[in-house]
Amino acid sequence: MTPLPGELPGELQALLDRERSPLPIPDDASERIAGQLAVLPVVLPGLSSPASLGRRFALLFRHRLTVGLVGLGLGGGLGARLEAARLRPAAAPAPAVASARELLRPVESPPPLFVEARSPVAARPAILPSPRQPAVRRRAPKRPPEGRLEAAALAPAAPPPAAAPARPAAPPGADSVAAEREILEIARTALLRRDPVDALEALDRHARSFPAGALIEERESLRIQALAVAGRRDEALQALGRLETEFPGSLSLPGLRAGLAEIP
Amino acid sequence: MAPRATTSRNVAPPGKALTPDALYRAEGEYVWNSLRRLGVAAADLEDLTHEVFIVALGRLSSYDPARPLRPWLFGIAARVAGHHQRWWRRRREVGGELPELEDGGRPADEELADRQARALLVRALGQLKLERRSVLILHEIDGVAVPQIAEALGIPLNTAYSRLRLGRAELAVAVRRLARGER
Repeated sequence: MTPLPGELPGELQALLDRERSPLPIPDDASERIAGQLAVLPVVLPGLSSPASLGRRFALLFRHRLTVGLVGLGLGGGLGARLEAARLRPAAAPAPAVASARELLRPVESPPPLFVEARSPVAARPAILPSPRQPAVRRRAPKRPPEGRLEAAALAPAAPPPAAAPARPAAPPGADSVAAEREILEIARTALLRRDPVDALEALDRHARSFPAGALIEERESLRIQALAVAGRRDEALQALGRLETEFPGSLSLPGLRAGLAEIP
Repeated sequence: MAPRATTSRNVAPPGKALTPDALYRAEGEYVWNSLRRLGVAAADLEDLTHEVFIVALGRLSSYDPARPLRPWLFGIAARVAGHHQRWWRRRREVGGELPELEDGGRPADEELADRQARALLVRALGQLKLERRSVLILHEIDGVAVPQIAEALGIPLNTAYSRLRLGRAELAVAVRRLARGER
């Protein structure tokens, strides 16, 4: 290496020397990061062309952030699944989430193309005792909501069953959003169990209870996933079309499109 | 100073599958610390570390396994940190506050001196332009040779040397100023 003129002052050199020993990542943070990364597909350095995959997951990551920013603690699309994977009990014998794409695989379909990327913390005790516990954000949101929820006042993408009594729409407040989140959380955890029946039931309940709720986009994103897992691909595609129409800026769309495209 | 040899772990040879968590296990701590040294606030380290790996995995096809991994990861971390800091700067312009640099979750008794020293360095680094800060961290802390830095950051070799030279001088001034209690 070309030598550089001048010596660093001893005081500065000592600071730099000290800084060479890295600080450890706090265990809880490390566990969360590893859990989030564990749901990503395996990639091949220098051979594959995962750029689009990366963009997709980058989008999904931003989706996760956006959702977190508005204090929802629950994301639609794969963002929700990444969050879910972070919170899943690590000691579960066969994680419901193997890869992002596998989540959209119908229950009876063959194994996924992607190898499961296991979390390094798989043997550690569960972060949460029950997957039904609501998602807990680790810290206060900082970034603005980027206007994503402006569209939340739109009509629900999937109308509730005719027999369901529609409650009067109230402006979503903190309490009602929490109530919405609770129902969607049930749907989300049902999806993690690969139980589309329970998931769809919870989603229909949300549609009946909150016809103009704040989390419609998230609900419909979950509905698409539930329909896909149930093997109802055509209905999932129809729901995807409605989501595209009503929430064209939804960051869950790229992942959902890609996931559905892989289901025969 | 004589830089230490750059650690280049063979996380995944060409053609061999790389799991995202394997990459994180090998280099998570490095990325976390790089972001911290680049001035990312403790509260944002987790999210940005995750983001660096997401971006890295997306760009893995552009990574040459024959090259050291860490400078490549650092280049991504610097870009992610740069976006983040620009965002915070805009926030500050409209009335927001920059978050405190350096982490604060460790016990203050026996590690106080270590923590203060690290905080001083990170604050001093924070007074440098990100471009110079990046070169300085890579060379003086990570021990990466300047030609490798130039390659990893995509800058001409002379520019890398220039940034290092200016960065060293500025850092020395910044440390002295901070040590005297000035901002």
